[in-house]
Amino acid sequence: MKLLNMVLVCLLVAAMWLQNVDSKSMHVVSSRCCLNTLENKIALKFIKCYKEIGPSCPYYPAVIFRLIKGRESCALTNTTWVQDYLKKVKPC
Amino acid sequence: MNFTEANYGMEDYTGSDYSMFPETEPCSLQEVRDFTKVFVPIAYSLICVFGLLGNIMVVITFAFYKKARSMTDVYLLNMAITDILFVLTLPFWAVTHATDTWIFGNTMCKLMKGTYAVNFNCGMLLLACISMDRYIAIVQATKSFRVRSRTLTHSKVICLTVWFVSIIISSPTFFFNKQYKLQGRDVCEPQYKLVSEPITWKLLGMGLELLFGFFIPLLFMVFCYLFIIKTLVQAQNSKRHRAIRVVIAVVLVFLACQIPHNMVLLVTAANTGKMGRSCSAEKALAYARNVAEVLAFLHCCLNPVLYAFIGQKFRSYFMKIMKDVWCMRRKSKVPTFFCARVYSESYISRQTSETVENDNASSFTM
Repeated sequence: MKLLNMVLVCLLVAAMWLQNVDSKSMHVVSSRCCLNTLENKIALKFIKCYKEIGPSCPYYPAVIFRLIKGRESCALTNTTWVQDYLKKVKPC
Repeated sequence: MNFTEANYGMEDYTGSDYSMFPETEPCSLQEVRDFTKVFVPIAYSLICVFGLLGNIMVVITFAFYKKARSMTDVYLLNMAITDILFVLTLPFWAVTHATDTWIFGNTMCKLMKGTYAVNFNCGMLLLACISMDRYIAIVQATKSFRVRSRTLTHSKVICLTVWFVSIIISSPTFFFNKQYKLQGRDVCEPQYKLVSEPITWKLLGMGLELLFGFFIPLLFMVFCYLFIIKTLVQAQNSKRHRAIRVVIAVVLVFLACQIPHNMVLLVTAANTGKMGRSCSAEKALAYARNVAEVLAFLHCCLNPVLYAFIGQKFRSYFMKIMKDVWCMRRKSKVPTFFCARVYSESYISRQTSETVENDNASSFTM
């Protein structure tokens, strides 16, 4: 019984430890976030540079492509073509 | 041939296809940012000032209090100490919100984020200890005398354990938060490498924070105080009613401050990884997150107010200390009737307390 109690306490502390891995407070507001992303691939010639989204954005892995004519679009960073583009395009 | 044509069509957006782009444009939260640049620094500065004043007064009052202290007093003293440490970090965050950049270096980044985590975890554990202590003292009154006296002799060990466990639980915050460049400015944020499924880990972290930071403590405290209230109602003992009033107020205020923050966190977790959200809803959530966070920090300077308004003995003892300080300062000058009266009052009150206060459970927060 004592061993079981010890194991339970360790599990409890471990779970509480894990919740502190990512802090949810003290975030400064990021100015721009991605809520929707491109589903279709854009030609590389339309993209000038890319920018990361901020840490306080509602999370999913995304990046902002700055396009010609002053436009911008969001794209998922775990997409294959986006990863290829990020190797060729420089940060803004 | 057909495959090649399809691929070429997908790759080549013409001018008319630009109408698809606005849906994927980033959502601008600049107005929220402008709001937080003003609101958060002011709020943090006020919480820091009032939190320091109030909690330092609590510590001083406790230090001068010579009568028998209860276990709850020791826990509340530790809460005052954690609150002092925490509000000392708020000026750094006020500057960061005002300038949108972290300028204090990597070591201070880890220290400030870690101090927040220690304060939160330590405060929650201390509240749990208070609830347990009150439960044992009241619901298990007939059986608990030996347990309580033994607990009081080990108060230092218990509080050290609480602090130690809080620091252990908060160690990832110290480890993962660092200063690095993001969007052209320095930020103080957690940074990970080699995370294969970031959304999954984010959701797990949020879930655990909601579970252990709010729901489990909530259930634990509700359980304790329901039994306490039931026992007190049955006993109809007015003295014990007074004993529990301050503690219940502290717990209720803590929960009231934490509920909005955790509800916003719950909504954030529900939205994490989900596409197709509207920009206006995201702005509203960002406003709510910042206001709820300020409200959560507000509890650091509310406890002293609770002691002052609800704790009868705390108030009288605090006034006594103020009078003593005043008299000591004026002692070098002519001793007035006011000070002499204070001395006689002190003597009479000591006589009274020796005869009436047979109960060892005299508490300076009652």
